[in-house]
Amino acid sequence: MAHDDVIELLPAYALGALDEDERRLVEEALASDPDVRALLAEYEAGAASLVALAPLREAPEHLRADLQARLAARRAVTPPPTPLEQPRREPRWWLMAAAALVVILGAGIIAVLLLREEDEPPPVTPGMGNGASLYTELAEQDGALWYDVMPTELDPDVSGALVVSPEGDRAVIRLEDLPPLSPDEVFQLWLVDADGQRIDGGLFRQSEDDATYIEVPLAAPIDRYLRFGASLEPAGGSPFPDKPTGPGVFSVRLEEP
Amino acid sequence: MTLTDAQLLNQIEDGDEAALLTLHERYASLVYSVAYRVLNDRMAAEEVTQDTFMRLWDKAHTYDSAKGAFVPWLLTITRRLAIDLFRRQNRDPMGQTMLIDGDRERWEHVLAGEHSDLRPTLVAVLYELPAEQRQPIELAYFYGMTQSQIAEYLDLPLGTVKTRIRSGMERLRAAWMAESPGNPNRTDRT
Repeated sequence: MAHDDVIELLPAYALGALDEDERRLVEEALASDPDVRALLAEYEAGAASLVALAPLREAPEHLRADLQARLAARRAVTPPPTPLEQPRREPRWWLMAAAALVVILGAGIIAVLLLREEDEPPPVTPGMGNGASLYTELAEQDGALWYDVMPTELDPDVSGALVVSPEGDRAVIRLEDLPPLSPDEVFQLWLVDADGQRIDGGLFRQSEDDATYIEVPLAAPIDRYLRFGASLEPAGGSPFPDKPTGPGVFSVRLEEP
Repeated sequence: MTLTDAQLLNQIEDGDEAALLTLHERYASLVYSVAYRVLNDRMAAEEVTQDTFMRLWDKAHTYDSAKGAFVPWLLTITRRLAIDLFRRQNRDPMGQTMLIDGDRERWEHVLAGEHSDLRPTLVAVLYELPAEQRQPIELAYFYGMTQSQIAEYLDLPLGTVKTRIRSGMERLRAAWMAESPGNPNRTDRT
């Protein structure tokens, strides 16, 4: 795409209003052109004022006490620190203990909110036995679907493949030559659905083995997705539920060329 | 002594719950306002407000002051969480109040604080945007709609939507540039 065409897309990109194809073109330009990045920063600075279109409302007073209860519940169930393999997520029985504690504290609404966290996608960790064995299992199935992993400018050596079950309901990405991570960095998987919306797929680090296997947390059949990708993020992942903050690491296109 | 947002963020990274509660006291109303604008529902807005501060608790270390001021970053988290909930609940933006005239002067006062990068003059330009530009921008900003979705929703040609969004955003960018003589990125561009 011509440089001027990319420039024209920047205002809408700053709003998050581009369709998937145009967004990808802008992100390719952003990865390589500092002038485009600088111009985008100006549009984003202007867009920051849009928050002022929201009528100001006083937050309900009980929210402070509710937040204190959440912190107390989190404090009560947080396990001891573990090596950075996955983001801090309470396993199911911790959630039930938290819910019981909250009932004791008399903050029933917090119990609902904590249990709702079970709806979040599970963390993705490297080198899981399930990932590698599932990859082998899917690869041996007649009618399995295959897609190439495409590197980004961050590291052109990244390679691999995505294999999908013939039914389109299970998928594993095999990755090789991922760039090294510092202790305060992590990779974050992103799924882009057919509506162009990004969905958090979880956090992972490279495996100590030759390849890293990631089971993709599909919530719908594969034909409901346009592509998968990963970004380099600070430990804990992007603070935004649907937007990476770091550079792209790889992508996998799913639609027909 | 009043601690700055940056100091409180450092304390949060060290696990200081009182620091989080201080930031909650400072910004809960702003967060709630943005969440309510998207969701138009008290309980949903409360949920997003609390999720925002718990996310801040978990990810304070991801804030990078070199990329912008803290308040816009925090409110971006809020907006993203609210849009995510909005989509999951399949809400209809036309069911919300459109083109609300927010409290312009109150926002200008709030955003003129030393911890904010959102300048009052920029807010004034925002409120002076023609309605035909403001509406598609609001649909994108508060509801996460793409240009194609906006065109379909408003029953307008896609090209018209693109032009209106681009024109409105150009005005905001120009206003921000005009207020930032010291901005190292300020160059003449067309």
